Amino acid sequence: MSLRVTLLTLLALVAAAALVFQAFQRQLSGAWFAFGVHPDVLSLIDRSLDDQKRLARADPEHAADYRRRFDEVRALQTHFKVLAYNRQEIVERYEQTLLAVVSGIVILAGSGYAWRQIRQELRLARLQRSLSDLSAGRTDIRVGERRRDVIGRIAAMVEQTSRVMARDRRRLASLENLSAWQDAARRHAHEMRTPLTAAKLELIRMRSLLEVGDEPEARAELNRLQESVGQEIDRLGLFTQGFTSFARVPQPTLKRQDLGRLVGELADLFASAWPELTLRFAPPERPVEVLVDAEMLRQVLVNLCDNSALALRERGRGAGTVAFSIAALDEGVALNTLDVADDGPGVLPEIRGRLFEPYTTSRKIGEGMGLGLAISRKILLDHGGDLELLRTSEAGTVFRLLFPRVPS
Amino acid sequence: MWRPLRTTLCAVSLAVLAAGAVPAAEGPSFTVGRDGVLRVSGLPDILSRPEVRPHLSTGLTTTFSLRVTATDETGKKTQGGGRIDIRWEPWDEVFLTAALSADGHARRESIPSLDRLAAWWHSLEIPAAAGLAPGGRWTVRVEVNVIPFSASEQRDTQRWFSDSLGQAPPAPATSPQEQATAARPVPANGGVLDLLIATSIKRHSLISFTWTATPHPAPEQRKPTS
Repeated sequence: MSLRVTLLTLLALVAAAALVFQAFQRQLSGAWFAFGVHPDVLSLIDRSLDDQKRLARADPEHAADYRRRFDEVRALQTHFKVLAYNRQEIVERYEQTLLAVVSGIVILAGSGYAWRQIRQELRLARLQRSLSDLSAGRTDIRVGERRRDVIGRIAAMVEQTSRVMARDRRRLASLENLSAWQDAARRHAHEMRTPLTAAKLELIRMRSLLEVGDEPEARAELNRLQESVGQEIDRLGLFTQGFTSFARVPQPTLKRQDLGRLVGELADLFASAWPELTLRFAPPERPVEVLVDAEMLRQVLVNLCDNSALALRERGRGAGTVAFSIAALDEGVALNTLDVADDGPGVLPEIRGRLFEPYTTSRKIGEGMGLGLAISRKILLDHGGDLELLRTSEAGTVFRLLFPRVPS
Repeated sequence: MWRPLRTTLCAVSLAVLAAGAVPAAEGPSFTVGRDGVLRVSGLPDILSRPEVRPHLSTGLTTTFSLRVTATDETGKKTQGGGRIDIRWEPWDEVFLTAALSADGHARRESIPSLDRLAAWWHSLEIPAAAGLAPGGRWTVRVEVNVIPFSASEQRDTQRWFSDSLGQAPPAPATSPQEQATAARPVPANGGVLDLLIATSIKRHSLISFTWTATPHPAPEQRKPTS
């Protein structure tokens, strides 16, 4: 608790005690005044009574008046004398009452102080939780403090920090997207410029050959150049086809099928598709049924195997193995998993974080668009599942395909 | 710290006084009439004792509260009592007395001097209990508590004191309008606290006397004293 609040509390306590004391003091002063138990006062009253009697005897005509005054004074004397008999009890009762009231005030003040302390503790605990959330990276923090004291100001700072973090994240994401698009544009430009430049050069060569005449060597060269231009145009066609396939990934036609059987068929069918790869699959003991579009699943698995084969080839690893394994997983949601593990060189660290984003590839420009994993993940997401990079290292990479479990 | 000690000492002193303040030889006597009424008479002269005498002239009603316990041969106890009020009236300079028996009858007198008051005291015969079997053997214990003021004086003083606590003292009035204003009660600012303090006015016994009464044979049925 701050020094200011403590001082204010103490000041309020002292003020309350002083107020009560003053109130009691006033009452007590009045009481003692009325009390009049001092011997001199009682003696005066006695003399007054005697005087009234003497006056009545000396002035019989007004005896009734004197008697009335006598009775009035005597009533007062009676009160004083009764009070005098109880003086000690009255003082004790007064002191007990005063003590009880002051104790009550102190207890109330103490309770108020304790209540305030508890409230402060609760507020601090809430602030602590918010700070923990902030340190954990949450950006939607609302502490809910309305007071503008130190805790309230810190809470406002925490909320402001979370808002700044959220804004920075959005900017960062935007910049990352921009960077990705710049990278994609550069790749597009290169992919298109290379065949176009080649085709342009070959067309110039063809024109010069046409000017030479109809000689057999020139005709043969023209045929070769024509074929080469055709190849460049085919490359452009393939390039645009990649875009088309990414943009038009069809919705899967889901059917209940045995995942083990599908993977087994694929492993058999493509056993020799990649010379550097050996496909291994240990089918599960029981059928694992999933809702799947078999053709699209095949596309995903072929893509993953393609990537493994290319990685082995690029990094000169020679032969490798791709192993398929099926299992069940319970992480809050019941899932079936298909792990695709290779013993290749692993995913480069600089692209691991954005591996499933379009145009992410470790290959040179002109050798791949980096759309395969993005398309594969889109296919798995359309199945209600997901595709994730389970682990990767220089000893190999494991991709995991997740399928929602269907009731048997 | 010292207050409880003082209170304890006072209580012990009173207890010592109550235990045996008066010699048993000068105790009262009692009769049990054919009507089964136990009458106590011949009360010892306690009015002239120094611990009692000053209270008689205060102008307050000194109350002598009698408590009578009669025990028969079988140990059966019968309780009874009475009350004697004595007040000095300073205007007329007389003692106004009232002897109240257990059956509610009161005997009131105006006595001009202390000597005659002592004689009146000694001559008192108070029907203190009823329903006793005539002719039985009784052991009668008489206890007299001296209370310095009456219940009505207590009530009046409590009311007056409570009013005094709850009201500001009026300023001296110089005009009829001011007198009228001054006559209005000022609102009390602590009613419960005033009540707490005012109710501390209580009637305590100042001193207590205890005797074992000796039997005094009753010749025949007597009319109740009125």
